[in-house]
Amino acid sequence: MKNITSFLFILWVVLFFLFFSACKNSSSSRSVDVAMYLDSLQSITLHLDSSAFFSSAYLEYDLSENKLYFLNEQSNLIRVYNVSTGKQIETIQYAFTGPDGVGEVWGFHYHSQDSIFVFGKFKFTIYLTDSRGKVLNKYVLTGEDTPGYFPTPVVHGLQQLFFIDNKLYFTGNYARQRKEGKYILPLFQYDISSKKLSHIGIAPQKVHEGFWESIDKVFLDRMGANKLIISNYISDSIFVYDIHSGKTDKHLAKSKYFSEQDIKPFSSSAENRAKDYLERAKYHLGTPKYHAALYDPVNKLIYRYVLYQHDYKKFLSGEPVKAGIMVFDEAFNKLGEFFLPSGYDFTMSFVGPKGLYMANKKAYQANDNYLRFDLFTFKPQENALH
Amino acid sequence: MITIYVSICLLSNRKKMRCIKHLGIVVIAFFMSGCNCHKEDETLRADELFAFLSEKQIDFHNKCIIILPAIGCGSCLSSAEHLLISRQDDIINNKHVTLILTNLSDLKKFKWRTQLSDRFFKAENLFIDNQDALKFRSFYPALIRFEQDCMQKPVYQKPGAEDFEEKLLDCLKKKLNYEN
Repeated sequence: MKNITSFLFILWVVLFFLFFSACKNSSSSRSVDVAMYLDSLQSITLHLDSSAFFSSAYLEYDLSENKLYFLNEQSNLIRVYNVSTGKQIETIQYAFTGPDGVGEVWGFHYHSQDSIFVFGKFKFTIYLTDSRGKVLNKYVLTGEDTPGYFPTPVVHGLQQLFFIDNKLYFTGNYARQRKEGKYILPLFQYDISSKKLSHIGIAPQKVHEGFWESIDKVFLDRMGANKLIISNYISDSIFVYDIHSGKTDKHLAKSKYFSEQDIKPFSSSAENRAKDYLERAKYHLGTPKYHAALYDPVNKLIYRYVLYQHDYKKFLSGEPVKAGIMVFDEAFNKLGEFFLPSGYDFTMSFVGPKGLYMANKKAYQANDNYLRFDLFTFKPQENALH
Repeated sequence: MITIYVSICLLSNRKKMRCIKHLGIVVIAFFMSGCNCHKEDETLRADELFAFLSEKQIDFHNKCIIILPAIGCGSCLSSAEHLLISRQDDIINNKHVTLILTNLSDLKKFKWRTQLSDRFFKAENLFIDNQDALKFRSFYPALIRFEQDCMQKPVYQKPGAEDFEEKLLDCLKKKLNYEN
């Protein structure tokens, strides 16, 4: 009798744990909850002049002013567009050399008309300028408080720059600690009052050994007043850094089609890589990877871009590279993962007045006097793209 | 040719075996001559190129075809573009050279970047394939010479390779020799 009671007790305990774990799984791995909609009626269309094109190495949207800042790297200038009218209202021309020289502009942050922070390529310097391109101050990004780490600060593409509480925040490429072979996610803080650079190396992680062949970038976006979200090519997780507490949270933001174990390093040596363009192209096509994460304050969503594995031979036969987008709520519950329709380039996207906008290449090819950004929305309704 | 030979051979009352033997030699010779033509490599298929040239009614007989893709090896594309810019007067309306700009998704940017003349873009020997009809998948600019109608092995503008410029100049010299 005693044995039967013990057996029943153990059975109930086991059943309880099974039931509990099943509930836990169902809540943490929610399947597709939203659908993706493409709303071309809510597009933003910019009027392009003869020297403005589809591509920009850096885009920034200002919600309070409803302005879009567009880097024209070929001319070393920033174009400012009124999003309501689509008209260009201002250009900020930068000199390469001389007293106001900033080199080749790679990224920037438009704080106000007389406070524009500009990052010069290969200069490792952030310049404070006014809207006429005059240099008011410069901040050289060198720090001595990072022994053993050799990170490279970069403000470019979706590796954005933010100015919060008199401090600049930006990322860079991976740094490797030589002795332990560990990589850390580089996040930088530059205090413009003390002119001190701090390297907030967060989340050390042991990643695959080997040369990473330009998939070592770390992407940054602002999430609310005090948080920064950090994404990179090679991790299943997104990292959230709290500026006030200095703490970092790690959130699983994994694709359903691959995991970080599938992201392999480039096998060739660094010496040969520049020569062997074809091998590099094959590697990039054949390696799935994560990309930037963006926070959407309007819809309270987080987006993370994905580049899926592609076959070189299929690419040669004309099949385009497949890119996707994962959507999460603010608690990092995954709401869906979608393939992006062809003709859209996520490197030309920003979170604007109503959500996520992405440049439409086909519309530009039909008429290159205009650049149209279509609105992507994610809602649990019918008539979705997927 | 083969049909005519077979007919004459059989009608001339020769032994059938000898006719078949001769026919074999003719067929082998035919295929041997075909083997001198380049059929395909990893990024270019002759049949697709022929289909494109036929569709666009481009005469390729004894000509050089330059194919410039829009995406690929940056330094290689820049080198080829630089050649086009510096040699544009020789290239424009050159009867021995046909230039195909393929997969060109941003013609406006290409025009602005290269500052090539309006004459260049109006040239009769320039074809802009912005619909990717050619299906050219090389990361490198290519130069393809046709001897008669036989495609020779393509020469690619790759890092460190000097063949491309040399062969292009050879093609352009044909024009100069012809004019002289």
